[in-house]
Amino acid sequence: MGIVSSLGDGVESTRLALFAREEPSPRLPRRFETQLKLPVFEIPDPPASADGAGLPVRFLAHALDEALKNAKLSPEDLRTRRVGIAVGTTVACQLDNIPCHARIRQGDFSDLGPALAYATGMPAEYLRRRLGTDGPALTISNACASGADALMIALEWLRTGRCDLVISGGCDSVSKVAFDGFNALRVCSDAPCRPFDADRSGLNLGDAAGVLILEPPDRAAARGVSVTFELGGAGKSADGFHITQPDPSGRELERAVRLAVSQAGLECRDIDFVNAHGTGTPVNDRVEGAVLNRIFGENLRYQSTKALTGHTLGAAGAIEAIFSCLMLEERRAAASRRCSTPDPELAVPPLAVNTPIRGNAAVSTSLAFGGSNTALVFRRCRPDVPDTGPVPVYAAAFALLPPGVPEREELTVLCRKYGLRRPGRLTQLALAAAERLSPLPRTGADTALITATAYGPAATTCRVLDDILDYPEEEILPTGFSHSVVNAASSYLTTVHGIHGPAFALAGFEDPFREAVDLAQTLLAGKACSRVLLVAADEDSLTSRAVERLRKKGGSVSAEGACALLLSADPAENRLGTLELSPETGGSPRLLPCGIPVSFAEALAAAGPDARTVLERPPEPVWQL
Amino acid sequence: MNEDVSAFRRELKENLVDWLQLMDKTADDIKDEEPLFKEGLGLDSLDAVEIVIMMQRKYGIPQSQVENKREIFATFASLADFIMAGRTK
Repeated sequence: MGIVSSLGDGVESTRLALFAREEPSPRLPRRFETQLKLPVFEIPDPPASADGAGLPVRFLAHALDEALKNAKLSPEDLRTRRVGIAVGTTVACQLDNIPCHARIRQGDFSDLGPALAYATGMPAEYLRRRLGTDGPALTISNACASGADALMIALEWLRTGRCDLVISGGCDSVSKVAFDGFNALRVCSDAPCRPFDADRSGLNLGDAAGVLILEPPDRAAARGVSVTFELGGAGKSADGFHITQPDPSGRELERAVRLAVSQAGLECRDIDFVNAHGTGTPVNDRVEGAVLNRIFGENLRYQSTKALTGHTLGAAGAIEAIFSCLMLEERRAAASRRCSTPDPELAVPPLAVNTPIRGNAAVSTSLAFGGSNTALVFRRCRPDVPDTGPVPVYAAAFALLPPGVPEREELTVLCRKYGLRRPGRLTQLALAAAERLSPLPRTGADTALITATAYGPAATTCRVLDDILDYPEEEILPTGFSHSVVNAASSYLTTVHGIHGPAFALAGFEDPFREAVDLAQTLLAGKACSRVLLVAADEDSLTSRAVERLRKKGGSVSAEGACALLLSADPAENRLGTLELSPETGGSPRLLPCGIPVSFAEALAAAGPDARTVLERPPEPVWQL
Repeated sequence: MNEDVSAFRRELKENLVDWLQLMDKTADDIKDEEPLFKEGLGLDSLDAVEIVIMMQRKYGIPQSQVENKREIFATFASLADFIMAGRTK
């Protein structure tokens, strides 16, 4: 493990600080100018990096160095194993450099340094290049659940034998866009946050990165490294309820927690404590507290650590996984800080003091925008659990969106059909592609969703940047920000199609579409679901035009577009044949947006049940200034 | 209803569709006496924040004048009347 947050730099200082009498206090932001008096948990900047990497990636690289050292792994060790890399983030998936945007929007492309740092700074791809590994590298941008989702993907890769070792984690930093955006959503507190307190008034943002290296215990033992705790289970569900608001019943959150506990081979009574998401906003804490009480009854013990670190967005799930493991190791559950008067609506208040525990198992929850729930269970290691092995993947349906579609008329019909309002362009493309599938994906908990994109809702992000440049901070529009998250399309798709299985929003520039198909295969092999709806989309934006100037080969041929692919493990749903991944680089295929090779789209569109379609890896893009 | 009022209401309906990107609606779908929220036009709390910001940007009505005045948002007509009376640009 490796970590950096306001609780300290490194695992050992974090261990002490978790239980210390004094808690760190947030301060007004120092990295950017603001009139807003909203405190944040900033930490010192790591040294600048020669490759121009942005802040979240530098925090991540710092945490990785510690994790590799603690795991006794050298770069050579990694090159001889099948290493997967899964990292959650939100800020690193946006080109949020305000001066750069100000230049680009005036047609000045003379200094694209920040655009290059963004395109080469997708955290998972960045680590893969740095470490020289060649396994999957996924950057997950599922808003506040991203870090926990990275861990769930790591577990699936190990369970199915896709990887021997996984580097997983999350990273984020307090950016001007997130700061103004969360303020526009009216969820920030102007005081240190007080999760689960009766007087809580919102969240504080924070910087952090956390890295967990996961490896089967027997393999670690063979290297002379002993492992005490395992990530025993992960449960993920989608509310499919509303684009931004959580389902007040918390039904899907409850299902995610129960799934994780049962996958870990445990009963609820075996869980020592829950490290709750507990952001400090009125709605989150009320719903989450009620659900945890429903699951664990009067024996519930829980805390939020966000009063110590702030809400670190894409890093939160990863650093809180580390906190949970440290508490298990110490056989002590940390007190929930700044909760002097627990909300009387909570049947069981959070832990008021550091409390001795058996140290057997813990749950950590992460809940995101758009009703994406992830629960992880950490427990004492079991004897090795065998791999499930690969399964054939059948293509049940495929649709590619023609250029220029959807137009306003089709959108109006779609929006009326599903009672939708104001989907951004990327979401429009994703919805229209999915709508062209025949048959439409089935609703329920058995269907997973993966969205893949390079730029995400970049045009929407550009509008948020325009707002920041053109208006005072109190006039930033909240929905611009809420629609600029990479998983916005995912929230719409789960809601309109009633998908309650795991939903992952992936971002990448090297081969996002292939990575997504690879993940679909893993989810199906591990029986995390029985079918996967995969939607790949990119929208045209000033950002994409700036970045495409830097990409010399392996790039996209058109500005925007989308495709939808329905994959199944059930031979009865085989309509277009089996799908296979080729490890080979297939020359220089022409690519549609978000890395869909033109030849693949053509082959699948014409395929039948007896077909076998191979998806080759495209060459990596070469970025130049 | 005098012509100024009806012309302004028309303009505001078009603006609302545009500001709030109501893909499933046109200006004609917004009825004067219909509630803006929930069972009426179906707007939510974030839409309210957006409308308040756009009132400031477009019509020069400070946000402080709108705080804690839920009655302004009761129906489309109440919103239109408030803006018409209070606009500074």
